[in-house]
Amino acid sequence: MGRMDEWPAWQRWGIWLVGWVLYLGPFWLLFTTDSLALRLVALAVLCGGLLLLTYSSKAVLNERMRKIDRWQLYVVLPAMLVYMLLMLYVFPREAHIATPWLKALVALSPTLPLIFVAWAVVRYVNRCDEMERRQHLEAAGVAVIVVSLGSMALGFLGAAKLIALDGALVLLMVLPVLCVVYGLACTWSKWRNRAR
Amino acid sequence: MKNRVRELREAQGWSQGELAEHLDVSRQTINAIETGKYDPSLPLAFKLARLFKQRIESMFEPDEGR
Repeated sequence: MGRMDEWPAWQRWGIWLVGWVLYLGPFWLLFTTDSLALRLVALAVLCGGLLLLTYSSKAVLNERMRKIDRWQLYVVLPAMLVYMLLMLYVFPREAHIATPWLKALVALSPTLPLIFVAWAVVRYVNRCDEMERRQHLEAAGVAVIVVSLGSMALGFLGAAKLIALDGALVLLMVLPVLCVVYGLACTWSKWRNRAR
Repeated sequence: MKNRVRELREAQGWSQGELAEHLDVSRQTINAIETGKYDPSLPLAFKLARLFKQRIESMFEPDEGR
């Protein structure tokens, strides 16, 4: 079989597409089914899809999986699994809890695995090579600019009473949008420098 | 900065990936150095020079046009 980054381009892109299907399909299923068994199967398939997607994403950019990439994957994947389980099964319980401190504990529980992921990302970036660290810095800068300008624009529109904003929802969206823009900026930078 | 990294790598018969493994960097970093999109730090430049048994000044040359 050999290393995935040495496979022919159509195989690497094919595996990458399969990875996306195995990632997005179960994701959709998680939010549309109430069956516990189906949700557990979806979570397992989603993890497999994420694993495949990470390996193939490196391969389509002609990059090998290094020790630090594998470390990052094997640390972040379980943490994200814990996060999804907390979001699906623990966070919704806060609506039925009256004690304030317990309600706060349950409501804040999904942030614990995310703190762990943040630590893992910092550790990963510190172990990347010098050009990759510059790419991460640029991507973080782009993400901060996009999110802060977007937030400011939304704030102006809200202050002008042109749109109605749900404060909690807007705050909840900050981290995911930051991560998506950061990821896109990183991918764009890596794509420009992909080796042929 | 102009450099002879591609020329020296090809003389060794290495791919970008193989050179990246020797230097413990990513393949895109090698590609960016070879295409002049990225100038390596002094420690990485020294690693390259040692690997190819060259003097740094014979591998890297300031690009006066930039």
